[in-house]
Amino acid sequence: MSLKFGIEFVPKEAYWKISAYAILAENNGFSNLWITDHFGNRNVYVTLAAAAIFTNKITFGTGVTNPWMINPVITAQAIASLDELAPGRVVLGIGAGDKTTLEAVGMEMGKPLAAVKETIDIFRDLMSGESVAYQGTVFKTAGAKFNFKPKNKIPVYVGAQGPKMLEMAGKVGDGVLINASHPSDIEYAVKMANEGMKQAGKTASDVDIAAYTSFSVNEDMKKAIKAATPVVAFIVAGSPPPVLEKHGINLAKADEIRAALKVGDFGKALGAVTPEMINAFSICGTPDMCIEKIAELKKIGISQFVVGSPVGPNVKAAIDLIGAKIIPQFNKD
Amino acid sequence: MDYDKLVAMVPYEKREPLSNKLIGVILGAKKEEKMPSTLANTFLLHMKNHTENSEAGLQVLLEAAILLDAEKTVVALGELQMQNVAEKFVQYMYGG
Repeated sequence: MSLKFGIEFVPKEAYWKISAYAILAENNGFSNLWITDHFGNRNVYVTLAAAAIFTNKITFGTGVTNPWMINPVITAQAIASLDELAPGRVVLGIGAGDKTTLEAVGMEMGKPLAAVKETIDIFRDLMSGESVAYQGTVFKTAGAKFNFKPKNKIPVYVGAQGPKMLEMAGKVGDGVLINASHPSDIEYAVKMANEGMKQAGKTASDVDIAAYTSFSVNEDMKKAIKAATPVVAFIVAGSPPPVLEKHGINLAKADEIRAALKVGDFGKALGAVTPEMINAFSICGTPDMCIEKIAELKKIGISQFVVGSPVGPNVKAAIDLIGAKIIPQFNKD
Repeated sequence: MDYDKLVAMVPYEKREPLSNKLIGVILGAKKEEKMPSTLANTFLLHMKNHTENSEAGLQVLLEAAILLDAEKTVVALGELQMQNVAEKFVQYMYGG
């Protein structure tokens, strides 16, 4: 079975740059485009709308939105509207959200599992075009209905890290977005998602299991690693001790990075990133090195590989390189 | 600036490598706020329709690249041995 390739962009860059990257990705054989949703960046739906207009066939969606910042009915409305711009090319990516980000806008992340599940329920009910009266533990609707008829069945991808969310993702999702890069983390996540799929009587072909990685490629390995280092520093700073210990990462070093980032000393933070951290939290290196790592993930059972930030030291060159050297290796059979 | 005159100086066989380099200059530019949305949308339409190597497409790419990073545009032209185009551009910009 061939492997699909997705790519993630963060709309801290202008819509026209992201749309141009999306066109390049489409031309280079990527099948999925994922745009992150963070209030500090440009709006995810505006960015997706632009990408929808300027691309021809790539499938695109939120990577990922959350139940808290936008009410589920508005999320459904935005996705249904996007589907009119690019019929059959839209997916919803939904996850629990980031605690730190939500706290910054005074939102509490209560009952994340229920909130994500209820958002999916409301989304699917609204997409049916019917009036929705929903009584959840987090969300309620009393006869919510669109004044237009959604046309297509929109696949829902669930962004997940923890065991319960992964299981639920396999159970109710059309896709699972596993937020990890290391084979051992992906293996565990696939196992948990498979548990959920089993409970729902699904088979592997029913759910698109995607590894949503931090990725950096360049013909020069050092340049690839250098580009991945800032992203890895932030991942380390945000990871709880059990996750760091699992990968044999020195907790004192992680504290050092956290403290340096807190005071904006990026030089110190990046200098403290070790090869173990790079290996645990990213896939980076030359095309051949990346091919080897992606092949390992494919063997574990993923059906989509998402090239996440930073993509490479030069994004355009990295997209061209992935299209020329990496994707063809996985489209042979 | 007469971008059509600049593009007319580009040999046909160099159109594709030039458009590739100019797209690199445009996407690598730090000051993205310098790009007007009308020019950005025209640039994206040419990319979408694969007409970035056409005369009209190259005119848009040159205009955007020069606007966003004139220095790197001149370097890109030089790398493709199109010093004549680069010189013409510098004359337009700075006279002489």
